[in-house]
Amino acid sequence: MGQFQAALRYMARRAAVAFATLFVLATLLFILFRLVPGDPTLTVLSPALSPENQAELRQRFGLDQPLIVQYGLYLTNMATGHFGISFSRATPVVALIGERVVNTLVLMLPALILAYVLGIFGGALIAWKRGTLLEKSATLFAIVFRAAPIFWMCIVFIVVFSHWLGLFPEGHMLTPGASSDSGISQFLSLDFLRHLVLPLVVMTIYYGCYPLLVMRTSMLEVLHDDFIELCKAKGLSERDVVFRHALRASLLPITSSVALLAAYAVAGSVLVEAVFSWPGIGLLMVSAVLDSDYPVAQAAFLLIAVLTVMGNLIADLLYGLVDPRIRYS
Amino acid sequence: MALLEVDRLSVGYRTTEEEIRAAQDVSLTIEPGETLGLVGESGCGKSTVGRAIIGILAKNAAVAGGSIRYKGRELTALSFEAMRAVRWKEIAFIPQSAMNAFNPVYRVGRQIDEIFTEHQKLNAREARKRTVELFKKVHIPASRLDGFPHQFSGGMRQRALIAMALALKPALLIADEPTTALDVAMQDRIFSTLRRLREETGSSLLLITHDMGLVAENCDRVAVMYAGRIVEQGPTHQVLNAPCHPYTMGLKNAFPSMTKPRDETLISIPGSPPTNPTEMVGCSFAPRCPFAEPRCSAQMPALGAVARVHFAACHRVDQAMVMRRRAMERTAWSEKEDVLSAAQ
Amino acid sequence: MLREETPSLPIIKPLDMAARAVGAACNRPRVAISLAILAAFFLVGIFANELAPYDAFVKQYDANGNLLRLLPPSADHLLGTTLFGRDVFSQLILGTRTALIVGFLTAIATSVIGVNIGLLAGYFGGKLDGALMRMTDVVFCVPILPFSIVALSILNRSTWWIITVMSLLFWPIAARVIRSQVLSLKERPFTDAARMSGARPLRIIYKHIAPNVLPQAFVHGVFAIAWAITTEASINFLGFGDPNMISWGTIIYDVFTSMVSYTAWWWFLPPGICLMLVVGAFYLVAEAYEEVANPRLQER
Repeated sequence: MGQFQAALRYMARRAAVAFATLFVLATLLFILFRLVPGDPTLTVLSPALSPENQAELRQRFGLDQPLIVQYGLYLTNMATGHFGISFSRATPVVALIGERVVNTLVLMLPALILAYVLGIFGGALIAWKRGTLLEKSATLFAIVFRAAPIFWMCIVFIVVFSHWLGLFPEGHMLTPGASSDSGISQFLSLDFLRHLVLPLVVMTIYYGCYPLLVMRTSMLEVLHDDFIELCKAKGLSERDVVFRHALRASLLPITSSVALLAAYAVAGSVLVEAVFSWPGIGLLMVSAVLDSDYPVAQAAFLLIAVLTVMGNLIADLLYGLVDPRIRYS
Repeated sequence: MALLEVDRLSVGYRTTEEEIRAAQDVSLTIEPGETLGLVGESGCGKSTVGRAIIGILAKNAAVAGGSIRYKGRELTALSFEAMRAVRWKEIAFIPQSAMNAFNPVYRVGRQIDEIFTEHQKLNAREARKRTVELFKKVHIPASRLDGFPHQFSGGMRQRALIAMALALKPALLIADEPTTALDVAMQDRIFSTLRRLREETGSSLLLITHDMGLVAENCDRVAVMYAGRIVEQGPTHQVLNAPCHPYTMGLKNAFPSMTKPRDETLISIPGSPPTNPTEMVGCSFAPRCPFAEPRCSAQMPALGAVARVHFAACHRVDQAMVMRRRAMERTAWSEKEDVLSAAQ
Repeated sequence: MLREETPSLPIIKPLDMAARAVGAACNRPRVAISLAILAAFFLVGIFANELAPYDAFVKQYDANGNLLRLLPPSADHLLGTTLFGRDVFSQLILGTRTALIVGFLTAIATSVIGVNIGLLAGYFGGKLDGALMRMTDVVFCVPILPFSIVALSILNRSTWWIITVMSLLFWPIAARVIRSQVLSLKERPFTDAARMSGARPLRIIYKHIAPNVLPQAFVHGVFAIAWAITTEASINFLGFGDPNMISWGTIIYDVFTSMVSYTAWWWFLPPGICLMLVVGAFYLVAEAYEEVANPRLQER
C-alpha cells in the first residue's frame, strides 16, 4: 500500500509545482513583454512580415482586444503550440524549435550521463586509493575545473584541439553540405561525431567535477563505517567491498545534489552552444533575444524552462529511489 | 595441533605523530570445539587481536611481530586477497555493533545470499534457499528477508549475524562484544542460539568481551588482557575462583555477584589504563596495583605458570593467595586510590 | 522560570566560530591558499584605480599615432593589448573590482531574502510555510541564465539589474536550508521555554533562533558570491553585460567576438584564470566553513 501511493502523491505534487512554475513564467513573460518601450503589439508581429501573416497574428492573439482577453488567448495558443511567427525567418516559431531541442538534448544528455557515471565511479576509485598520486591529482583537477567558467574552457579547448592541433572542427554540429542525411541518420554520421567530441568533453568535465568530489567525500566517510569491516571479514575482494558495497551506500549526497543540477546543466548548455555555434535551443534563444525576435525568444525560453522543470522533477524522483532509509522513514 | 596458535603477536597503529602498540607479545591457543574468552577493559587491545587473526585491521595498523598459525598455516604472511579463502569459510567474525554491521542500503537477505554466492559459487536461487534455511534455524521468519537492516530489531539483527557467521561451518568463530548493546534477557537468548548452532557446526569460539560474567557462563578457558598484554590465562573456573594476577582480582570485584550482600557497592580499580603502554618500563599495571613493589615498576614480569595450564604475569604470584584475600577488601583499593589522587 | 530572559540554546558565539574557522584554515593548506588568493584579489579590487597603469577604456597609441592593437605582453603593457588597443592588464584589474562588488552585493541581498523566508516559514509553519515553500519551489525551477538574459534585454543592461535579477533567483537554496534548520531548532526545549515566558514570536525568531542559523547562512552567502560571479560572467559573455563596466566576462566576450582567440592568448587566458582562482577560492572557503558550521557538530 503505502509506498507506491505515497510516491504517486508526491509526484503529483511536484508535477503541480512544475505546472505552476511554467504558468508563472509564461505570465511573467507576458507582463515583461508589455513593458517593452513602444508599441506592445510589436512583440507579437513585425512590420517586416507579410500583410497576411500580420492579419492572422492580429486575429489569433487578439491584438485589438482588451489585455485580459489577450492574456487568455496567449495561454491557449501556447498550450496548443502556437507561438507566432518568427520575425527574422517569417516561419511559424513552432517549426523552428522542435529540431533545436533535439540538437540540445543530443549533446546534453550524453554529457550528463557520462559525467555522472564517470564522476561516481571515479570518485569511488579515488576514495579507495586515497593518498596516491592519482587521488591527489584527480581531486586537484576537479577542484580547479569546477570553478573555471565553462564558456572559457570551451574557448581553451577550441584553441588547443582545433586551432593548434587541428584534430576537431571548431564549431557547429555538422559540416554544411557534407551529407544529405536528415533526421536520426545525421546523428550517426562520422561528421557529426567529430563535431560532437569537443563540446561533449567540455560538458562532461564541467558536469562531472561536482559528483566526483561529492562521491569522494561521501566514500571516505562510508569506508570507515562498521559494515565495511564485516564485508571484508566475509571474504569479499577489496574491489567488491568498494564498488559493490561502499559505493552504493555513499550515493545519497549525490542524489540530493542532483536537485541543483537542472539549472546548472541548462546554463552550461546555453553557453556551450554559444561558443561552439551548436544549433540548439539555447543558442536559438540567445540569438533571438539579440535580434529582438520576440516570438522565437519567448518560445525558446519557455521550452528551456520546461526542460529545467522536468529535470527537477526527475531529480526529485531519484532522491527517493536511492536510499531506502529515506523511502521508508 | 591446536586449531589456532597465536605466538607473541604484536600489533601497532600508526597515528600522525607516533606508533602505538595495541597488542604486545600476545600468545594464546584455541583447540577445536573449545571456547576461549578474551577479557579486558576497552582499549586493552582485545579487539585488535581478534581483527588481526582474521586480517581486517585498519589501514594504519599492522602486525609488528609474532605469528598467527591456523591449522598450521601462517596467516600473517598472507596478503589480503590470499586471506579471502580463509575468511568466513574457516574463520568467521561477529562484530561488536550489530546495529551497523549490515549495509543499510541493501536488503538483509541479499547480504546473506552473498556468502553463498561468493564462497560456494551458488546461483541466486540456491543461495536464497540456503539463506531461508539459516533464518529458520534462528527463528526469523523468511518474510523478513526482503527487509532492510533498519527494519530489524537489535536482537534479530544479531541473530541474523550469528546465523550468517556459522553458515559455512567455520572451524573458528571470533565474536567481538556480540551482546554489548543488548539487554540481559536478549543476551541470554543470543548466547543460547550461539551454543545451539555451535553444537551443530563444532566451531570453536573466541569470545572477546569486557564482561566477566559472560565469560564465566560460556567459556572453557579465559585470557585476561591489560594494556595490550596477556596478564593471566587458564581454565575459566581456575582463573575466576583463584586469580593470580591483581588485575584479574580487581576485575572480579567490579562485577556484581548474586551471592554478595546487596547493600555493598562495587569495588572498582582506581585510576585508568595507560595511554601509551609501550613507553612504560616494568609492569603496566603497577601504577594501579595495590600490591606493587619497586621491582614491579623496574621490570616487566613474564607469563609464568602457577599451575599446569594456568599462567599469570606477576612478580608476586607466589603470594597469590594472600593477595587474593586482601583484594576482596575495599580498603586495599581505596588506599591505592588515595595514593593515586595525592600524586596528581 | 517565567522571566523575560529565557535560557537559550548553546548559541554559537561568534568568537567561538571565528576561532574554529581560523583553526580549520590553519589545518588545511587548501583553505589557507584560498584565503590568501582572496585577500590578494580584495586588495586589487579596493585599490583598482591606483593599480591600473592605464585607463582601461582608452585606446592606446604609440608616439606616431598608430593604434597599439593586439600587442603581446611587454614591459609597457604587462598583458598586452586588445584588438581595439586597450591595455589588458588594466582591464583585468577593473574587472576584479566589478566581480567582487557584484558577488558581495548579490550574496548579501540573496541571503537577506533567503534567510528571512527560511526563518519565517520554518518557525510559523502551517499555511504561511506552505505558501512560502510553494513560492520557493517555483522560483527554484526558473532557469537562471536564460531568464536573466530575457529580463535584461527587456529591462536595462546595467550592473544593478544584473545584481537584482540574480538576487531574486538565488535565494531559494538558502531558504530551504535555513528552514530545515529552523524546524529542528524549533523542537528544542529552549523554544518552548521562550514561548511560555511570553516572548513574542518575532522576538523568539530573531533573538534566539536566528543567531543559531547564522553559520549556515554565512556558508550559503559565500557560495552565493561564487555563483554570482560565475553567472555574471556568463551573462556578460553572451553579450548582455553592462557596456559601461569592465568585467572579466566582457573581456572574454570581446576576445571571442573578435575571433582572435587562437593568437591573442594574453587577452583571453588571464580573465579566465582570474575567474577560476577567485570562484575556486570561494568554493573551498565555503566548503571548509561548512564543515566547521555543521549543525551536527554543534550538538556534540
